[in-house]
Amino acid sequence: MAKIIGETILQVENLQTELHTNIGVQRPVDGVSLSLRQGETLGIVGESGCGKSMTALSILGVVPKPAAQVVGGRVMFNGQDLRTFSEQQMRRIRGGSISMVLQDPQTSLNPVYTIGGQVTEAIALHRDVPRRSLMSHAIDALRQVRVAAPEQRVKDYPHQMSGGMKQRVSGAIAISCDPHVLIADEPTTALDVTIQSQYLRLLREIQEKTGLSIIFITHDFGIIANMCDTVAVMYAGRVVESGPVRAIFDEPRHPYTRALLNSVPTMDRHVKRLYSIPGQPPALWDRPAGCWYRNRCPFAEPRCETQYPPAIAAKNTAGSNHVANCWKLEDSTWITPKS
Amino acid sequence: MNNPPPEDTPAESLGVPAPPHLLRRIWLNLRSYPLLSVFVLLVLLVIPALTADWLAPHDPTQGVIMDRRLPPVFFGGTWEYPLGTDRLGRDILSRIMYGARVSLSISLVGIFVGGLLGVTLGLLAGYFRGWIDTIIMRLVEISLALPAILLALVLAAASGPSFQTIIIVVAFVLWALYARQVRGEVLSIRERDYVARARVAGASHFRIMVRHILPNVANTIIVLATLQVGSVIILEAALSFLGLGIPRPTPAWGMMVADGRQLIVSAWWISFFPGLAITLTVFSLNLLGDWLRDRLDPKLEIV
Repeated sequence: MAKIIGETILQVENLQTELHTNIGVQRPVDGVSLSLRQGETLGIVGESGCGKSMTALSILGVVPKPAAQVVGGRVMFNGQDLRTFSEQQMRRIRGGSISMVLQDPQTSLNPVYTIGGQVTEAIALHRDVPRRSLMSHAIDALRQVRVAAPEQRVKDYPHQMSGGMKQRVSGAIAISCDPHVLIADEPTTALDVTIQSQYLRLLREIQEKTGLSIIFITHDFGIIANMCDTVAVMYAGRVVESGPVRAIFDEPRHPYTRALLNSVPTMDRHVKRLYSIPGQPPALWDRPAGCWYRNRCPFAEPRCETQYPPAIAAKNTAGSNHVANCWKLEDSTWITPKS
Repeated sequence: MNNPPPEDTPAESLGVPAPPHLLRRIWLNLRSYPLLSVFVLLVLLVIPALTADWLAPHDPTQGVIMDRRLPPVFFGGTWEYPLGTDRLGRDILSRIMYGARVSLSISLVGIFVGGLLGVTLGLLAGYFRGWIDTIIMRLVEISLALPAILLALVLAAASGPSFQTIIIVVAFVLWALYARQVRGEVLSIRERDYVARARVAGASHFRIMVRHILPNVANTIIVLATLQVGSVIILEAALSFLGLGIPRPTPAWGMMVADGRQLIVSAWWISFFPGLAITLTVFSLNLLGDWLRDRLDPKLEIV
């Protein structure tokens, strides 16, 4: 892959989001830090409910109100903290500089408008384009995501398109305003495997052409291996390990990362039963003292019960920036063994 | 008719419950002929309302003293007054035609005002939720708890019966229904992904509400409005009947029914024809509304 990776474009520091519910205040995002460079793809991986999507929504400041609220941290984008931006300023960022593709293509297009109408809406919101040429820009955007015969398709309604096509249209809307960052929240989960790989290839091509940075949210390690340069593993609202994709795959330092990798079925190993991590993640309103993974961790020690481990850098063959929140890393050569 | 009723299939043999009652079957069959309702409405309501100035045979407010209480044409009357005259010698047909104008304008304006208010508030309540929702929905409940007639009495007593008073009463009765219905739909639509997508694409709250959510509740609003024309006509008739409607001598159907009340034995036609007009109009409007609901709302199965 001929990719040029540049300066850091998006830096999320200690982001915290609260959710006010009947059972009390929860923190689905509890101190997440991420870093994304230009032209890079960052994968966020973790099991359901670990705060992946909420992190994405918090970055854009569109958490579901009135229940949820971003309460702390910074979102540095091109040197400015997005959390200090007004709603008006954020509207220019959303879809303009940072855009997002949602999970379900079946419902992410408004059923009452044509495809063309929905693509032109995004363009009209962010780009200074004369009204008359809006449609030709929309057609260009659709052509960029390989929608066949876009001149005809712009007149179609969402129900006239297949799931894969709809997801491409969502993609066209997301890239139509030349964003710097694209947040893709499980964009292929609802698609067939063949359509999935086409879509991923398309994303990579667009990235190579435009130098787009992508945050790819998924729970599929296959996609991570395919798409990402760096990976952040999330557990219970926090990043527990992050680093270059090869390092995470080959030398995972956090027991949770290893457990996730073990849960992926493989063809070359014969196993009777698929591995599953014992136990449940801690409830959002009832976080234990110490490390949140200790109840499920085969390597838990006494001090794991009292203190949440800090991010400790790992000595690495594959590159720098590999950190994990585990006391085991005090031995800098620690690599979580296969169980 | 291009929309025939479905063929009756031998239901029992399929283990399906017995077919509906005869009256219900008639209703269901009528409902599948929207053109019939439209025709009745045109003849009774729309055309008279628009053309009364040219088509009405007589002045609706000027009676002829010599021609008081004349019976309709096939009951001893003449073609001069096809539906007879009232006790001031005014032509009932002409009065019904002008009365249609009152009914139509009050229901259209009233529903427009009430609907606009209700849809706006329902949209705000459902979209923003939180305290806005709480306040608006408490107002809805208060409004639904107040009897319309009582409110009309108070308003009419305070400002005197007039067109504006009726519009205020109608709007006050209707807005809460719209607000409640629209809020319910918006609550579900705001969670759809296309709303989230519009949001992450940088659309403002106003834009999302008006461009993305409103068109998706339009069906409900149209059906509700159609179904309500009937009840507004009834409400207006009831108010006129009580003397709280349009001030005399402008003819209104409810007032005409009231006027003939004491003479119902000797001159039945004075009350009968305006009453028939109310009945047929409301009946057709309900048929049309039901048909529209079946057509526009795929969630409701046609029973």
